[in-house]
Amino acid sequence: MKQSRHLRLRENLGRMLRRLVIMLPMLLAAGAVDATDLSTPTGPVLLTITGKLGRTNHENEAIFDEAMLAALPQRRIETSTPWTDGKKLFEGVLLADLLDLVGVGDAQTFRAIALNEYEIVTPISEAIEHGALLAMRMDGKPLTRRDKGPIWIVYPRDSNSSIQDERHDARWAWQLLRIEVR
Amino acid sequence: MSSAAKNRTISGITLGAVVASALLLTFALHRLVQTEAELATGAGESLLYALFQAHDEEQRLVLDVYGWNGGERRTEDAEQLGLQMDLAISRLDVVSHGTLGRALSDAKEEAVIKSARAHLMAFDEALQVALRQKSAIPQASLEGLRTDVSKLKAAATRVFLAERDNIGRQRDRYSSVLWEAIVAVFLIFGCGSFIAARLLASLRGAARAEDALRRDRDFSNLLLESSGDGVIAFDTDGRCTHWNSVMGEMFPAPCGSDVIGRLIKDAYRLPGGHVILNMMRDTLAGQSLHMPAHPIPTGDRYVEKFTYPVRSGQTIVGGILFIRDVTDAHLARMQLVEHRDQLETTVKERTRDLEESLERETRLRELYKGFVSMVSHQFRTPLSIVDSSAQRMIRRGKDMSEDEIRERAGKIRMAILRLTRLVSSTLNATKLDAGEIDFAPRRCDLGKLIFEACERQKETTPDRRFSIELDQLPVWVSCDPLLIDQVIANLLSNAVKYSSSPDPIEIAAEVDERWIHIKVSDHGVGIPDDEHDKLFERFFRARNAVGIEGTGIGLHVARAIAQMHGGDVSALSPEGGGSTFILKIPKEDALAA
Repeated sequence: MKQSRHLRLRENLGRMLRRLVIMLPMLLAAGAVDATDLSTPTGPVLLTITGKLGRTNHENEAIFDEAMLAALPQRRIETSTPWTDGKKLFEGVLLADLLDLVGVGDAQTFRAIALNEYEIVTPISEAIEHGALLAMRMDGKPLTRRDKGPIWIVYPRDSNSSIQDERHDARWAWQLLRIEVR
Repeated sequence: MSSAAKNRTISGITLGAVVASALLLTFALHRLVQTEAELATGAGESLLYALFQAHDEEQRLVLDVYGWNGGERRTEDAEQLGLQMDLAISRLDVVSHGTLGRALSDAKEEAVIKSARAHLMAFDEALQVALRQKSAIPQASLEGLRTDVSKLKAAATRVFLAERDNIGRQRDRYSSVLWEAIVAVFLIFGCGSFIAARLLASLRGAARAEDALRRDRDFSNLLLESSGDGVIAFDTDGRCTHWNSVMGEMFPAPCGSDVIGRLIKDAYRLPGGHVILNMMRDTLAGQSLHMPAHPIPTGDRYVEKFTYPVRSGQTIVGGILFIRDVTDAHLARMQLVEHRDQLETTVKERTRDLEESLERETRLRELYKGFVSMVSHQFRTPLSIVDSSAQRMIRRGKDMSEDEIRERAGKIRMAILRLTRLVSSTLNATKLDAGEIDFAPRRCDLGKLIFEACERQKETTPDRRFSIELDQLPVWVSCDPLLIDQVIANLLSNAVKYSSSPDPIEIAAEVDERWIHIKVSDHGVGIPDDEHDKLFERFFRARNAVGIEGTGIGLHVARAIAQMHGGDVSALSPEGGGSTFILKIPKEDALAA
């Protein structure tokens, strides 16, 4: 997490000060109480979560900008994928953490919708069990729309043979835009 | 073909069927696994989809560019166009990396993507400028994209056709594999049917064999049970394999009738070294044993034991033990032996009786002979004296002087006196033997009695000398004086008769603790050694006594009287010749005691 933050700072020194100002209350809020509503994004919205949510910040939706996602605990997965060559190091937010944050209640599945209108439905329990990660960086570089960014749902595929299957591979939604829980 | 050879052939075929089934199964499985692996690979479809996506996004980009050029060119439009540009590039990116990238190179369609990417990147520069300035995009820069759209479509078509061929080929392969598997399954089914039929046949055979075995077992059990003997069979471990109820009655096992299958030494709790265990051991070593009738420890029964080893071919596989109750036969034999012993005893007794009778008879005959001989000798002399005197008196008649008559009559009387004495002594002896003589012991002076007897003897034979030595005699002796006087007189007259003058007759008395010995010795003819034993028999006369008057009764009577007193008369032959007779009677105190 520290490393990712450091990389990000080095990448975009100009926005460092403003970022710090924004992050300070957010960090405080994250450590505070569950009952408080989600903070409001200040940057461009990267991800929208809809459905029956415990916590929202915009018209019954939870919307996230890059900073809000970066403020959540960052995790890593090193794995190879059918769409890349060689092993890759992915960094991002665990789907489990994100769904916990917004409070999905007793929702069973979520529908992932991509920028190119790709849609796939996944049982939440399986996604959490398999360690789904909303990756925003690959090999230290932020994912862009041109290479499956800004958010790519990835799984630790190498370490779990049960998900090394074409049907499961369909759940690796890239250019993720929305998550609908139901 | 013999039955064994037939069985071998069938077994061989069965084994072949099993092996063939296994091989066919392995082959079929191998082909199926191979096909499964082929099923897993093959990315043609995905490549087709990816190419379609790339074609679609590029076409949308072209459309969006037309829209931009002909529209109001708002910020949202710029953003949309930028997004479409990103999507188009990302689609090319997807198709040229990972498994899709490899599938693309396999399909030899890399060139299309590479040129499309180059055109798109070139177009991107013009697009970024137009988006910033919100200006129209030159038509010329679109040409490349439009060509690429067509090329992507053509590539997709080619991939589709190749994939269809590929799928067709795969289907052909699957079909052939399937047929191979089906044929293999049929063959396996055939082999399996054969094996199952063989199995059923062997099961039937086994059932028949079991039936036969059961019949055999029932029959042997019947034999065992119908035997009057106790039977127990055992294997090489000493474990009971057969057992009949007679054995159970004869020797009840502590565990009841549950003996079969157990070690005999456990079932009967036999200690180590027990005779049965030793017999079993020797039987298993190949010996047939027989133990003759003996009593069993728990009762009054007698049994015989037989063991025989049981062989299968050359090897001993166990043994069998028969126990036969022979109590009745044994008791009968014992009774027979007893009877025989009794009979032998009886025979012995009878023989002894007979021998005794014979002896008695012989003795009587001897006695009779002795009597006859005695009478013929001893009676003849006085009778001839009487006869010759009578003849002389008849011949002489009146010529005979009175003195001569007196002398002749005197001789006749002497002869008659002698005869009378002979008769009376014979009668006395008979009375004595018949126990008709009264025995009346009383105190008497034995010394005086002896002196008087000597005096009487001197009257008849005045020329003989007597040396009397009676100092040791006690004053009183308990005896029957009449009978003892007879004994002393007998001994004295014997001494006188069988010796001659001037040799003296010596009479001496010796006394020890219990006995009084009266010795009467002479220096006469003595007694022949071989006739010592017969001396005291009735009518016995020693051979050197021929010509001397005597009945052979005196010593017999003397001994009988001495024995009535609890004593005896014995004879000695001293060194210097002659004879010594000893009367032995108990002392008074000894008698009283």
